[in-house]
Amino acid sequence: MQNDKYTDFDLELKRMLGGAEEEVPSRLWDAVCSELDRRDRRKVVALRWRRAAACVAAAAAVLAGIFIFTGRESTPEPVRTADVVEDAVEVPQTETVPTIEEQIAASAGAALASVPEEAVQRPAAAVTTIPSAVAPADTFVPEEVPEEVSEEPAGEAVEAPAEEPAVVPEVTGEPVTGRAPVFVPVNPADPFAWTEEDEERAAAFLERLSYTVSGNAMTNDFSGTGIRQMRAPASGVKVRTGIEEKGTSSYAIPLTFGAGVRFNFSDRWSVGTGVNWSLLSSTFNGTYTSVESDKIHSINSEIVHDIQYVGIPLNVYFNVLNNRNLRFYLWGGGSAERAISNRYRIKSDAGDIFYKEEVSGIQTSVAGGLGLEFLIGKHFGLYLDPSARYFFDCGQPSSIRTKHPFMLNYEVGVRFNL
Amino acid sequence: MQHFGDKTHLNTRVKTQNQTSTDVTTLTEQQMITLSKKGDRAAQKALFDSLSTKMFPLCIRYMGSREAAEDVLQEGFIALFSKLDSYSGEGSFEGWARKVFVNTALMTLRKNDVMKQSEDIESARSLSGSDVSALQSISYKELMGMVAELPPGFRTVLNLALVEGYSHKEISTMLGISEATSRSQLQRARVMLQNRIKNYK
Repeated sequence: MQNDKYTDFDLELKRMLGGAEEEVPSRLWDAVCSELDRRDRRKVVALRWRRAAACVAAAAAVLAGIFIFTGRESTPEPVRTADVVEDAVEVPQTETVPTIEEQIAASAGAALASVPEEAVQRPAAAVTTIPSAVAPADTFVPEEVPEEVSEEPAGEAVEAPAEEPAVVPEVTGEPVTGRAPVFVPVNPADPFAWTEEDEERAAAFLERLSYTVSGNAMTNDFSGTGIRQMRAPASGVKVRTGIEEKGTSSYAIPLTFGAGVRFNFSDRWSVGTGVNWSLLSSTFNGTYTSVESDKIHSINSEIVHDIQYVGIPLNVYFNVLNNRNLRFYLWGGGSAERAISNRYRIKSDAGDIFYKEEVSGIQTSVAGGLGLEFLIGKHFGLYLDPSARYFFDCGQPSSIRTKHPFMLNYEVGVRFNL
Repeated sequence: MQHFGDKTHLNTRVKTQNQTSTDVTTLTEQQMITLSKKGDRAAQKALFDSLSTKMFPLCIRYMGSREAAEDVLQEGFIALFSKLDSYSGEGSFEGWARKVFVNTALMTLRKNDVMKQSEDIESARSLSGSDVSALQSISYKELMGMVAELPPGFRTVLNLALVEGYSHKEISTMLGISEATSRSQLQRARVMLQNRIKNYK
């Protein structure tokens, strides 16, 4: 007590009242217990609702991704594959590409012997480029001399088509398809699977979880210059359908949508994981070369390249500040992603051509950054995670990730803290 | 202030909500708290048994009746188990629990708007001298009855200042009154109680 002294009366009063004990009616515990049970049941119901909300939000994020993707690839005037093949041959300005044997016969032996494997893929001396009726005049590259010399003997390059005529590996679109692009949706496997038998056990555990739904945009320099070479063709294939980039590439902002869960081990530490869907898109001028039987067709055109990845991130979070309204944290981790779609759209007056390639291997990356979460209410938060991410060279198709392996990210999302 | 011992010897085995059985006879206070945080009913029951006999008189002193005190005791335990995560482990658990019950009582008094009742203020101004021997001559139950009959505002300040040991600054913050009001109410409550004790005999 400030400025007040206890009198003897006060001290005696405190002694008599302060240490007193009285029996409590037993029904009071029953009342307390039933109220606790009622609150627990309400908590479980609330958990179910929040989990359902998280699933809905995650599904919404995936659907938004699908919507964006399908919107990008829709072509107003679809052209069937077969039509385009015929058009490519019948267009008056279009020359039929001679067979490899004809090229050999028509060319001087020494000159032809030096034609490299890659040159055969390109619209080079031996391959007549489909002219302006199909490809824009400014991209027409007639009689281009091969720039690179193959290390392989010329004889192999010449013999290959005869031995393996018209091998078209991994071509799913064949020259042209007007059909709607086949999107392989992210499997929205519910990471929050809930069974009745472990409901009670999980209830306590779920109290330490956070669900996240996020969107992510990566920024850097979105333009690229120079030639982007295709990855080496499959072994044994000397001439194949493929894309070659020429000139400048323009990269769209990579987009990522995801849903995840964060396990809060303490007030400071937590671990997060989930599933992400990413779309990398770029546009460049290039040459599309296709092989039909023993004929090679080539188109110079603007090409739109889309790669979709599904990835699993694993991050560790450390809360620097954690109060009722704000959470500031540092985080670091890695991610493993697998390409689920790798598609090229070759723009053509006769109709867009779609060409797919399988992608093998896993794209791995490491990342670290800061995070700021604004807590709205007890269980809901909006967060912003600026970060830096480095993508390792894992033999993936050319994209902004191979052009700029070190990228800055700005991930925003909602988090359900349970 | 009494503290729990290292071991709580309560021969209690209670089925919890999750149909698991916890033997609390050998649990320390900290273990009971930890289990209670996880919703273990047996541990919560053990904490209830240990605390309720001490917190019940506290509730009676603030509320003035056993019926109202039972409601506050029940609410207080609900609040205690809900806020158990905020107990850091520093300081006495009983002291922390006592604050929970005091706050619960004050909230109930505020809700019922009894803090503004100031009956018999004038009658408390006739100051009489401190008489410890008179106080010692009455029983605990008789004293509790007299405290319970004090006006709610007087009773609350007297409890906070003399029994719980809060300063007038703390009381002014808790009750939303000035320090001067707190002092004067304590003085009047003290005089009123002394007069009642003196007149009781």
